[in-house]
Amino acid sequence: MTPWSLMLVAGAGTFLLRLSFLALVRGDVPLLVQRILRLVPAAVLAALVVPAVVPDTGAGAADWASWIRPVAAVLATVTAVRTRSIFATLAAGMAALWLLSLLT
Amino acid sequence: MTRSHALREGLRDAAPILPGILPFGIIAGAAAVSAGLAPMPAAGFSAIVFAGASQLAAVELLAQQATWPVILLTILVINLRFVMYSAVLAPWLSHLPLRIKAVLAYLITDQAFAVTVARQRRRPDAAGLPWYYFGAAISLWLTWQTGTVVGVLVGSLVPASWHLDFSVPLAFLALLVPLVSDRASLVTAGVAGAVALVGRGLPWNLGLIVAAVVGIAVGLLVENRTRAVEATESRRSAA
Repeated sequence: MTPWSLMLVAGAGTFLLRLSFLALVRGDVPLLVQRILRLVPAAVLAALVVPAVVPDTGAGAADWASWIRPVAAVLATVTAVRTRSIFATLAAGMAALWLLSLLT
Repeated sequence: MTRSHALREGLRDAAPILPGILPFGIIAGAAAVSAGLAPMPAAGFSAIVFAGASQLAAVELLAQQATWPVILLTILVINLRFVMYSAVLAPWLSHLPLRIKAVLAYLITDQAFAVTVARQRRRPDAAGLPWYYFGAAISLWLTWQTGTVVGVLVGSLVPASWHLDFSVPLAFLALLVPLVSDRASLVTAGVAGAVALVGRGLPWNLGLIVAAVVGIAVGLLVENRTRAVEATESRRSAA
């Protein structure tokens, strides 16, 4: 598979997910399906974020530098909770990462 | 008259969101190039799939040499939420011909959906909802495409010492936080995050899918319990 064919299949699949209920004349989503779909984004995003910011140190002791990203991520989370702004969250997280990297 | 008015209203309501979408798009473009995609496929990804979180996840998996079926499955699972948006929008757009619906469907995003639902709740009788939605959605589309093209062009110029790769999980965090609105979604996110951490070593990068499924299952159980407690309490207060 080339990147283009992967993208075309992924694009077609995503389009069909978007079109699904719009193409039906009338349709109600079963309640259980609605409840599952509501939780999908939170589950997937959390599963993406946590392994990306927690250092993969195994059983060995982590050094200071490997804690920079988790700490910056916590500061970014606090910013996100307070501001609800993508831009402010990115700015706070990157600023924290740069400052902590300078300090260590 | 109604058309252009509703269109402008949609553009106006989406405008405050655009400054956040632009850097997110730049990150998606830059991450695609640094994962090894050539500039054309990297930009094409945004035009064809047009779903930021799934694009970033796919690019992360590409960089980890994941297999194609796993990448495809991950993209589709992340984009499952569009089915819900489609169902909510459907009654408001039901009078339109299918080819128009296809265009509007392609433009569905979290943000276009959110502003459209907010307008419908605020003013259920306001005219021109499809035009309002189109105005919001098309400005988000243009911003996203511009952002990814800029990211593809400048991404390879940014030195590694800037740690720009960290902006990817930060963008996910910024999307995640507003979704955690009650106990069930909080538990879902917590469990999914913990399982993903434990499942880092799973074969074929299946940790993400397994974590999402376990997180959703536990979240549903918590929701069931909350409902049962609420039902008991309302019975008690009625008696």
